Amino acid sequence: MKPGNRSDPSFVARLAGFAAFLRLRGFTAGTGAALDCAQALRQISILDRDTFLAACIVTLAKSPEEVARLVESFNLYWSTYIEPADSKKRLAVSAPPSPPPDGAVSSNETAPGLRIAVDRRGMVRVGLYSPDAPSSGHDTRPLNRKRIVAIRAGVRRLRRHAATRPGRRRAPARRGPIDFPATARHSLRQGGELIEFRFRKPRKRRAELVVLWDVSGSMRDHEAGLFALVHAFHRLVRRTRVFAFGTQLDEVTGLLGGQSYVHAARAASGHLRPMGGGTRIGPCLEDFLRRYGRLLHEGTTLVVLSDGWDLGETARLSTALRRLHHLCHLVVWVNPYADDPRFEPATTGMREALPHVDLLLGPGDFETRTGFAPERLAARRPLTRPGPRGKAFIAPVR
Amino acid sequence: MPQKPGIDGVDAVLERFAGQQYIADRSIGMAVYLSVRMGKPLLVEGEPGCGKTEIARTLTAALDTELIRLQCYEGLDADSTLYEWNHPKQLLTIRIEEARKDPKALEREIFSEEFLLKRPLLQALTHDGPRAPVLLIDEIDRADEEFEGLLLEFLSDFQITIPEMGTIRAKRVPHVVITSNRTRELSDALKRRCLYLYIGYPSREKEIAILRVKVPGLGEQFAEEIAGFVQRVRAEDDFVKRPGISETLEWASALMALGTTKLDRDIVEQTLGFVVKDAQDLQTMQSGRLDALLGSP
Repeated sequence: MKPGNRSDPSFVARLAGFAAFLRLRGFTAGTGAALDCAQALRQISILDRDTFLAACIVTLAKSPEEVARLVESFNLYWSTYIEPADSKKRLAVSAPPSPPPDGAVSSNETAPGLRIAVDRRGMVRVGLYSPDAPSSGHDTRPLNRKRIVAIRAGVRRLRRHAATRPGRRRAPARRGPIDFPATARHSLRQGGELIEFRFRKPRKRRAELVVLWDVSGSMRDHEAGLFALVHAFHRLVRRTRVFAFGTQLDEVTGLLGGQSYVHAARAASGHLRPMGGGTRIGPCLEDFLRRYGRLLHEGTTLVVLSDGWDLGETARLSTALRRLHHLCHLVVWVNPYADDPRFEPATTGMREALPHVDLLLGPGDFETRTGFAPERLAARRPLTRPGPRGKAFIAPVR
Repeated sequence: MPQKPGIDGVDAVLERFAGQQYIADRSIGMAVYLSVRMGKPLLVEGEPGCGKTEIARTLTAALDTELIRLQCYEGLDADSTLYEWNHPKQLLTIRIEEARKDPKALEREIFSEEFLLKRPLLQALTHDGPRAPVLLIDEIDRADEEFEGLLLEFLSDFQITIPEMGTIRAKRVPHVVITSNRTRELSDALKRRCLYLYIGYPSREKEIAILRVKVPGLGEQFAEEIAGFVQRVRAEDDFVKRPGISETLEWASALMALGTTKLDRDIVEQTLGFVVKDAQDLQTMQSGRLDALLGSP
């Protein structure tokens, strides 16, 4: 590898080409990061490959996943000469042959290795990483407007039940601790005369949701409806984190933010891991506990969207869910088959999970106005004992 | 004025960190060196207990300067991070001076620096020492997303705007180290302003080296045994919490305090709480896993 002289204009062009190459591969390296990289390279000896790579990592990568992928991209780019002006053409043949371990890829549709097709039913099918990769097959095609409105109304109803607790932030109030800044400002408006005190008290915290979404093959027929539900959670409950799982757990919150439902559906279809390989709910919940356990506290509501089909490690599922139930305020399980009045928890996973679930719902409960009526909720509650820490979570819907 | 101790290369960083008993690899050395030379904040992410906060402490000692620490928590706001007006003092001054001064002059007086309570970010900007301080913003992922917005002006321009007084710029640009345990994703705007470093669990060899440096008197073979056991615990994929380097060091210190020179089942079981800090994991260990881990090569 010969990265060249730093003052050589062709080296600057190649460095800019490297930043563009990274963007094509899904990195968030903008112009600022490229400038940082150029500035960093002025401080070190770029003749040493490892030093050069380390400086690129520090300035261009922004997550551990990007660190791993940057090493691969670095080798790919700097081991061959690529004309900056013709980079896209050359990049198309230099796509990596296999998916990186983290599973994250570019949302850029022109990125090498991405093959996007929309079938007659509107299903978006995306081949990942390589032209030879199988289709992910995730059916996140948009639902009609009427159903979306109904689902959002249902999520608003659930939001009222989601836990809230007093926060650290304060708001003006008629009584409570004295608000000295407001009192001082008020007295200044009165010419310095201290006429009355102002008070403030803690504001209620917003509801916090953690959504664990099963995207394994057994959920294929329900994926479009559940994606609409996931998107509504993210859109209507400000503090929502969404994780997709099948055999591995990935956070997908970033796919849902700042874009419309239709665009989010398309992005999700492209980014979710390909189906197949079964479901490992227990190990995925353990992984969630280990990596994101701190998200759960007495104010968090955990929503699991799954049919409970598991590959047999149900003891691990039971143990992990018991732990989750203990940590958070409320565990809601949405089973796509629970809408059927004849539904019974037939799968082993579902039977193991139910003792640790506070509320079992079907997707249809979000679409009907009576889905959250107190008598329906009482009937949907698998346990007769109170919720965690004895809280009564089913409040009448006003 | 004393000379600012220069750091003129990655090797110099590694040397100085080694002098402070911090075993750093080249990626850490590179990140710290570029952060100091480029005057950019350094965002350090990684598993708990892997030495993120220690980087800031070590850098402080290596540069012979002062550490200003801001511990993040949920609900952290401008009053606790930037500045706060001394309201009781303002109210008293208003009461005392209201008859003697006109309201405009009084307002100017009570919104002067005398009535300002400086919090960590403002302290870092107005630091009077001979060298730029190190500002540690610890566990930023614990703070709200709104707090990240508050930091943006500070991190890009190293200035703070106080509406009543104007903009305060840094006398010397502080060395900023931000740590995160990755319990949530930080905003792109914040990441863009920072250099990035990820610290994972150390390799066995590095962990042995850290043990030898940080726990004086620990024999090489005993250090290898301890590091090997901790590495095997970390490799268990069903554990809720994996031990970091800090747990290894605490455990080794405890074993030294007990006068132990060799790992056996009894002593490991008695001191398991130093390594395994989750009730469920402890239960797993006590139900047969411990023997398997002790028996593994």
